Amino acid sequence: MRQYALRRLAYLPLIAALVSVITFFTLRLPWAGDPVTYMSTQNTTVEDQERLRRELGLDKPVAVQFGLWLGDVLRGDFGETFRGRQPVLDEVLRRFPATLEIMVLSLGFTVLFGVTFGVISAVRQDSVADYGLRVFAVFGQSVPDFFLLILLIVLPSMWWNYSHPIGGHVSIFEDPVRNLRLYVPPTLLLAVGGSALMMRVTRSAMLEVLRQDYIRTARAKGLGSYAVVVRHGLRNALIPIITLAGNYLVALFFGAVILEQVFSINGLGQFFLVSAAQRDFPVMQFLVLYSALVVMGLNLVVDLSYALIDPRIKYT
Amino acid sequence: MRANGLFGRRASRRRFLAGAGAAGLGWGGLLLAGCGDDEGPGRSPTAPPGDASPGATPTSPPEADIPKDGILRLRQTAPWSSINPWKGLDSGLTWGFYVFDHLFYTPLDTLKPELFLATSLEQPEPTRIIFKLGEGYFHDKPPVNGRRVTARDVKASYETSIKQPGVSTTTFMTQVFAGIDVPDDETVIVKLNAPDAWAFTSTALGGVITGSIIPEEICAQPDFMDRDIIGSGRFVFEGHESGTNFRLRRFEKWRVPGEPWLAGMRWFLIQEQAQALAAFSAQDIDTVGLANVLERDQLVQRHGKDIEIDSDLSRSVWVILTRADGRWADPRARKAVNLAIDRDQIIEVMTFGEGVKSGVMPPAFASVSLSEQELSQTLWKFDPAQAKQLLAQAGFDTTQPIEIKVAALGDNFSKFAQAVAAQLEKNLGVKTNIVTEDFGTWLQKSLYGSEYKDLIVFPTLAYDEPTPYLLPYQKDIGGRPNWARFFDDELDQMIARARTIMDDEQRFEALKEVQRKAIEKVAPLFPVYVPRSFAAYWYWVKGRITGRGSYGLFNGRVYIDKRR
Repeated sequence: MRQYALRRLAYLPLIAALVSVITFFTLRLPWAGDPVTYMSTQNTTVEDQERLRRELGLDKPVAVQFGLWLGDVLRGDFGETFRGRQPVLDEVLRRFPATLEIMVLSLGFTVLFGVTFGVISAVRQDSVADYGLRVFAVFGQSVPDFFLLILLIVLPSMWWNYSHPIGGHVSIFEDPVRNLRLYVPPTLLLAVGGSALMMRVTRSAMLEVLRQDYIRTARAKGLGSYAVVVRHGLRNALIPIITLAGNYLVALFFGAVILEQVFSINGLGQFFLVSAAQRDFPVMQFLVLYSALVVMGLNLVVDLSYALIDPRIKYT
Repeated sequence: MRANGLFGRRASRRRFLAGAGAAGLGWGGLLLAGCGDDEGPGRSPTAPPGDASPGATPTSPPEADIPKDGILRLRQTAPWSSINPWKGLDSGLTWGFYVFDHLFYTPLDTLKPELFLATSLEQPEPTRIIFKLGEGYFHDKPPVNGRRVTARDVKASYETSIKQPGVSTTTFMTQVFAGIDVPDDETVIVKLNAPDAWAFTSTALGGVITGSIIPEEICAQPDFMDRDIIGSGRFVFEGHESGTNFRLRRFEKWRVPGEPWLAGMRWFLIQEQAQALAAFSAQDIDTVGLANVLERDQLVQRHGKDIEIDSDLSRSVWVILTRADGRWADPRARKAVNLAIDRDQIIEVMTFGEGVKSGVMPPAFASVSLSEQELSQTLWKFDPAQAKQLLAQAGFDTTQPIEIKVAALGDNFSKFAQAVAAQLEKNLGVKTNIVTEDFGTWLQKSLYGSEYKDLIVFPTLAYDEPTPYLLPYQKDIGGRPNWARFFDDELDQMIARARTIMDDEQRFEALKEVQRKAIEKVAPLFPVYVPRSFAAYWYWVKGRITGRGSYGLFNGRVYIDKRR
């Protein structure tokens, strides 16, 4: 397995380089939008634009720009934002804790509710609870996240004049109550869609497992329900669940954009959105590279976890 | 050559990101004075509480009774990409109003300069203006360390700011303004290349951004302001979090003793309007701009007399710009478009009736606007039958659809384009085709580059002075040819002549003549309406000034007092 992991890790720089090249050159295609145009005002002269282009290094041939950028990246310098002229890495690191917390909490709630409801639904198949949870699954997958998030703002305000904390991210170590007030309600709602899907996957995987002979054997041996369902049933149903959780985490990175927008949390999603709107190339290049690495890293973790869950799976 | 800034760098991308017509921080700041410039008011079943009359100034209790420990909490609608006032309109305006001092400012109601740091203003000859400076100090931060403001700072500020590509300078600053002499630390002599009667307005020497007094050490290294802001205004910049959640505190050595009456100001990033309303209702912020009259009525119903609503007519005019060449070269074709526009209906659709028709000059500029009676018979005339006749006489090819370009900047933009399209289809019997573009392309290419086929629709920015509203009627719009390709020597000369008339009354009359001539010649820009904007305040925000445009934002006598 170690060899397999090392081989997969060896691909990372290759794929990162490929993604970088594609991103870098795609951003500089004529129809991708010129950052200088986006920074221009009505009174920006042609000379001003040329000066700006020189300052941003956009006057050089694209291949030269790429070489310079690559050289800087290899030295750990991801450049400066076009607008604010701040180091990209600093700007990202400043915003990272907010996005990380959104992702961790959302994933946590998704897995917690998705798996729990899925197991209950499978174990109590065709019961009132099963029907109720399946209705929840349809609802959760049908209602858009932003709608639920807006309701989360509007209804408590109308009923109790309540507003969630404003002023953006606050560390959980600094002010735990405010942090949880800020993050728990929206991440709970953000998890609705994901947990609905996870519930359906868990339910169908569990139904299949619960019909297996070894489950019948386990019951016949007199094992308690918990041991049968969780230790023998759920463990064997975990592979599709983990695959889904891995994919969901990737999707969450982009789903966080909506939550950050609606709840005014100045995280990475916002940063990426604003930078894309302003054609801030260094930020876009960094974030695409970062996303690629995160996706590849997560896929690797998911793949490796299969072997840990199911001893029959071996990587050579 | 540079251009005048009818648009400058709009707050539009912020609005795009904010997803609503809600204002950005600079505009959020404008709400403080109740002089909002945003689109989107709605119907008013009753007169809005606290409706402001122009030039309304507050009456305050004796100063000794005023609590001065309040922090005013405001909304910020989108993160800034830079806090540098020379790199963004939001930062330039906000720090201009609160952190930097100015020599003077000219309110829109009087159009006469009111002195700030300057203690006297003389104009011994039309091209020489002498200011004497009063005593003012910079905030106590390195590298300036609280030293006194000198004339050299004023010179450096004006002369450096106009060279910044991110600052929307104007024809005045680039062509009329010749430079500044500083014979001593307290005397500023502004030299002009030519006489200009509008020299003291906000697009000339009275600019909020170009007129901000910045220490000369910082003018020498403008990138310093990417990290910190040091001015001599009534508030000290304390900090921010990645371009959001700004904090200002009272400057104890502010040149006006005892002011400001606020201990500080704080902005909170709140992008969604629903969230802003919730935060306001929860008393987490002290004021909120309202997108329409429905929101206003709902808030009044919920909070009753605990809140006050300020309302003001915007100076942001929604306009239709046709071309003046090709099939639009015949003035009858252009006039047909104007005659086919039912302004009352558009106001109803766009604002639930809470807007008013606008002439070339928005109605806020009472001294230079044409009377309603005159406009009713000319610019505002609605006559579909005559419109169709004129179109036929002009030989206009009605089989080709009329293309209407609009920026993708939120609901109101597309709603306005749809309203115009519907009226043209109904009243002229022509097909229309709405083309929506992202703001950058729309502004730089379609509008400034004249790359539109038939019509382009937009709201102008809101100004504190009348001259920018005349730009679209000039042959040269700051180095670029007229956007509509409308070239009229007579109008150009009339506008230029008005700039040289130093007597206010005569100049105002000359401006009215310009407007009459523009209407007579069917200049291709057709103003439609200005919306009424609303802002809600908790009862404890006192001392607000309304109806004087951005002048109200320089008010150091706003205070928080929770006593009834």
